[in-house]
Amino acid sequence: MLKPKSKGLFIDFSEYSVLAARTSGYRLPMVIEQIAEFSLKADQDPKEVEDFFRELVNFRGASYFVSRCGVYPDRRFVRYYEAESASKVRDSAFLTTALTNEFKIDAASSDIAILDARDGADLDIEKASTRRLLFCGAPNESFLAEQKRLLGYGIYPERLELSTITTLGGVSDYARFSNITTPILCFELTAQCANIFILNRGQVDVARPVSFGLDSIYPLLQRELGLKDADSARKLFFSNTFDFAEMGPKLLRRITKELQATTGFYEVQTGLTISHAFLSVLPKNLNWISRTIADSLALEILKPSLEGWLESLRIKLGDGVEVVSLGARWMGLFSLMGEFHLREEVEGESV
Amino acid sequence: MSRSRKNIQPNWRPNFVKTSELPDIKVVRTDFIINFVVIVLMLTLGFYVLQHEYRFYVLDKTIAVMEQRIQIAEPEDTMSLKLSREFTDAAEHIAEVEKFYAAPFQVQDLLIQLTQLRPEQLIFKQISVVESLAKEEAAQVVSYRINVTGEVISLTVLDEFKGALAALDLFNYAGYTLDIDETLQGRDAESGIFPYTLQITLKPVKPAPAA
Repeated sequence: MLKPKSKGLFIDFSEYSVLAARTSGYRLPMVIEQIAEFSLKADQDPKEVEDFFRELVNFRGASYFVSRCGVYPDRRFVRYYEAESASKVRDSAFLTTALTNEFKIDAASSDIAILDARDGADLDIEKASTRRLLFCGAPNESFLAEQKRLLGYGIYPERLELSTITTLGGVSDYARFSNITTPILCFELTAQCANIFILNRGQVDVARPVSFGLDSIYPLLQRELGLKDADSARKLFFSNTFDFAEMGPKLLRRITKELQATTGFYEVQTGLTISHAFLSVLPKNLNWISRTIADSLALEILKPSLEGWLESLRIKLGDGVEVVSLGARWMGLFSLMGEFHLREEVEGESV
Repeated sequence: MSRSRKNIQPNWRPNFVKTSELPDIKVVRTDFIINFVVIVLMLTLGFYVLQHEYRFYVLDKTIAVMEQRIQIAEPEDTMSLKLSREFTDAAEHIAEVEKFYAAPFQVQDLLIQLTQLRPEQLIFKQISVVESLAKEEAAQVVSYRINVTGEVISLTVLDEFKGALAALDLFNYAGYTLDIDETLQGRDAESGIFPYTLQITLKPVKPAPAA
């Protein structure tokens, strides 16, 4: 008779698929009761997406379900910036100028968060003690478009996070949890752009955008296979019917070069050797991209042991929830649940 | 770009939601009232049920004790009832005997004396004695009526017999008045005998009102 406790719904909404988890609530400790994936089509019917959510959670007659979402808005950015000193960081005008001059980002028309690159903490400008910063965000209209899209599916985003940085936080926390002491190359590859990050001991050392993404591969694929147009090449690319193992390195050559340039420069500059590669967001049928890139760079693919990591974040798996077979692309969804600062505090207390 | 402590986000997880663009989903929460009412009702019901159960328990216990007491007292009670019945029977018998001896005359004496007084020309056919109770000014009084029926050869003999009866000590009992009536039924033409009925009434004298 008594009203049951409200469930939690976490959503990672990429251009490839919707990854969602229903949890016992939003407060830790929490239990993941069910996880589900919805693969998005090119001409996706919104009703199908809404039905997917309504199957996963009980709306109880309401128009919206309060959720926590991670999105990949157009023209999103994550930029690493190292100021000359911490005192400069305390000047907001200086930061605005740096954004404009260094990264050509208009602070007025963008939603921007400034994080401490060492631990991802939200920067309190007046009390800043770091000179290593991360600027992340996207244009206002991009976030607004994502928000409206979610509302259209009956999803009320209580939190709307930038999956790029949230996933990076998840990998950073995982590196601390797994005690990975060597640098990790993180790569986010989407249709129109890509982002390269290098994490070292849970801290961001490099954040660099790549101005092209998967879309740049289709013309090459079209030429290689003699297809009639780039659209046919795109369909073949995602069709799961063609083995790209042999052709993969050739298709990804441009991307690999970008990665090699970044990692090579980093390794020369720091004297450190990158050991792992982590590729987020890519759908399951594009797993060959991870393998190809890792092979090209002679890196080991980081395969997170999700269950142990989640338990360390006080997140348990409910009956029937299996995460062993889930790939790195689910890291973004689970990172939405993590209260990473709690791990920092615990570690800080023990020192 | 300064932020209040409240707006500071969890590590690695800045929130970019545009609150002003979100629909208003706040509703007046009444669930807690429903829950509260349900809890109060359940508690009240629980208390009511418990109270009744306790009362039933206490009554059951009392009934058991009483039944045990009844069981123990039953033989004694049966004895008492039997004794009471015997006493009532004895009391009735005593009352009857007292009444018998309280009469102003004894029936056997009456019969003896009537027989001794009877002239030869007069016969008795039936003698009855009736005792009757009447209420006079909130007091019970006993009257006696003696009916003598028979036959007589001459009315003179009957008158003499009446006179002898009136003079009889037996009927002149203190506190009683004597009244003798005769009823004649015409002379039998063949035998010349008169059937008669004498009604002798003894009534208690009314006490004189206090001066």
